[in-house]
Amino acid sequence: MNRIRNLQGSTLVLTLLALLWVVVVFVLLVLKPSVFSLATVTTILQFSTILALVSLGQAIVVMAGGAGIDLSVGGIVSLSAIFGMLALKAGLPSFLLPATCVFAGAVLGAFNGILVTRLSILPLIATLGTFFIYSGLALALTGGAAQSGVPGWLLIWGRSVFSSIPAPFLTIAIPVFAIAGIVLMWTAWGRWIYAIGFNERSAHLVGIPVDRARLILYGLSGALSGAAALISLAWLGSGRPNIGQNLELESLTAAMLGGIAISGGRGGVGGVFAAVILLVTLKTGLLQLNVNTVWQLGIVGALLVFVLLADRLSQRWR
Amino acid sequence: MLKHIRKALAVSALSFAVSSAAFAQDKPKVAFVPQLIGIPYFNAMEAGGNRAAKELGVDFIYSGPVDTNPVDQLQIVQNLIDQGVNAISVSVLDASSIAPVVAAAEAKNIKLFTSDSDAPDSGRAVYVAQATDEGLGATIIDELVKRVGEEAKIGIVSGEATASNLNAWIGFMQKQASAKYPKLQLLEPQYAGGTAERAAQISGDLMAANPDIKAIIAVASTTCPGVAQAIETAGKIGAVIGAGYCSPNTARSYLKSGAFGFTVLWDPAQLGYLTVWAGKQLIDGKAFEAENKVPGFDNPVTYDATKGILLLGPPAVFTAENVDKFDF
Repeated sequence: MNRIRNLQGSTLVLTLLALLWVVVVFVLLVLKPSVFSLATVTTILQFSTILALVSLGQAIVVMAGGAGIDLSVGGIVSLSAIFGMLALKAGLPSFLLPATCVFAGAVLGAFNGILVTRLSILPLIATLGTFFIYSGLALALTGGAAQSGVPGWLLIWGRSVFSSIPAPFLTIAIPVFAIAGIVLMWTAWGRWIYAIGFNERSAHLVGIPVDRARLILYGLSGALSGAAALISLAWLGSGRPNIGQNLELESLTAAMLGGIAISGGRGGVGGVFAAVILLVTLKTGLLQLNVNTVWQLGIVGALLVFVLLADRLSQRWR
Repeated sequence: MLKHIRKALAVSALSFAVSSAAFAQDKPKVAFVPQLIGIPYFNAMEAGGNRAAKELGVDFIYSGPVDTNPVDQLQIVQNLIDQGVNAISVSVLDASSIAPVVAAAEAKNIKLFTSDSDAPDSGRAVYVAQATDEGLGATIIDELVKRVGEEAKIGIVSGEATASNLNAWIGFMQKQASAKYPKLQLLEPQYAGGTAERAAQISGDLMAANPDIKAIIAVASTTCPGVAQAIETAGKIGAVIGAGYCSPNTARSYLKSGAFGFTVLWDPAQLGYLTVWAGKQLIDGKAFEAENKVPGFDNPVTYDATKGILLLGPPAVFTAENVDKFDF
């Protein structure tokens, strides 16, 4: 019974997001037909890539319940990017840079996991602390200066476009979302995550290693942030110590908008993906119409409230 | 659900009516992307840009991030390119704010250039610079000598000891002093970090240790209030002149009280004007001359072809008399 209701919930969110997306696109079409070019599609996907990866990490942490939240994702992105560039300067062979960024992210994420599961610190507090530690460390290590010297072959990958789809989106974001979707829907592992999030105690009683699973999920979230850091390097051509600024809240917004229940146990990666695309499309559309950026913040907030309200009302009607 | 769609349609119809009026004209479009919106400095640049747009017959688009985040800035630049404006000027937070899009802009024949803050090796068309470090350093010494004479003792209070722009200014002050005014005595720079309190303390100590000191230069804008307050509380208004690189809004009350004789900076409104003018030149395909006549500028604007820098001109000097004309 629960499973059916979950399904209905996420289908509802997906429909709603798709509909909103159509509305945004329609309004844009009416207001500014010139927007409709393949270049705009490329732009939207380009700016979605980093947010999509980070939001996926945020989503799986929230989904696993126990008040799970990862406020440090932005800090992890900044610090992994800086760590990768510093390692490169210290003589790391450049072909190891991708692995270094992802690994650094995974370690930083796992540290969150240890704080939360082994030391039983509330995730909100633990990751707020590590958010300051990581982003502060990224600034301190560089003195606030951008780190240049990204290898040329990485830039070629980061800036190339295949039939309007940016290479990082095609080669990292899409596969990662596909894998996450398959794991969550069709494997025991995926079921475990929902079970932990839905009812931690019963999950524990049926023998699911709750703490270990959560530790791994925090690590995975970190690794995804590390991958986002790598993409930022390949795309921008330098490591910025504050590249992850605001990602914690943006990713949380995307996860909530995508139908992930803040209490855990409900939601799917499809919704998160749709939410990211919707958010970036909306932002792009407003920029194309030259709407003041200050208003954009408010509009995103209103959208979030609207979708959550619709979701809540639909549950009450049932 | 039908209700939502209907509402959305109504909203879109309404905004269509509004925007079709706004997009009716077909003038060349020049955009400026600041580092951050909502601060007086860039507001002044926007005002200057708007004035230029009206006088030169272009559309001026001013759009910037709400946080100093290079990705947000890049996104704005990218969207301006997709929109197909004719020229885009950016006060870059970092070279990465434009590096990924230089090629895209070129492909669409959009003039991408920097203003206020530069990314030298990015392939930008031109850099509209506010002032040179040399000009800022020399101007403050020249203006001080006018007021206290050539045989004065002058203290220097800076901000962070590691700030490269501040150190460059101090270097040019010392150079100007030794080259033009050999009898002028510049004391060793003191570093106050980022706080006004520390600057006040240092200035107080400077005046106590050097009773014959004639002037104190506040190099970082954060040190201006501290230096001024120290001069005021020591009761040395008139005997010691404060000066520095700070905005009219920061220095206004001290200029009025007499604690500060003058401050040196540039006028961001003029910089905004020059930015739009440069965009128009680029769109029209006119090359910059070594000296350019710009409407509304007293002096010709110089262009350094080797570095690709269009220079606003000598720094502006703000005094008690003219400070009320500026708001930034």
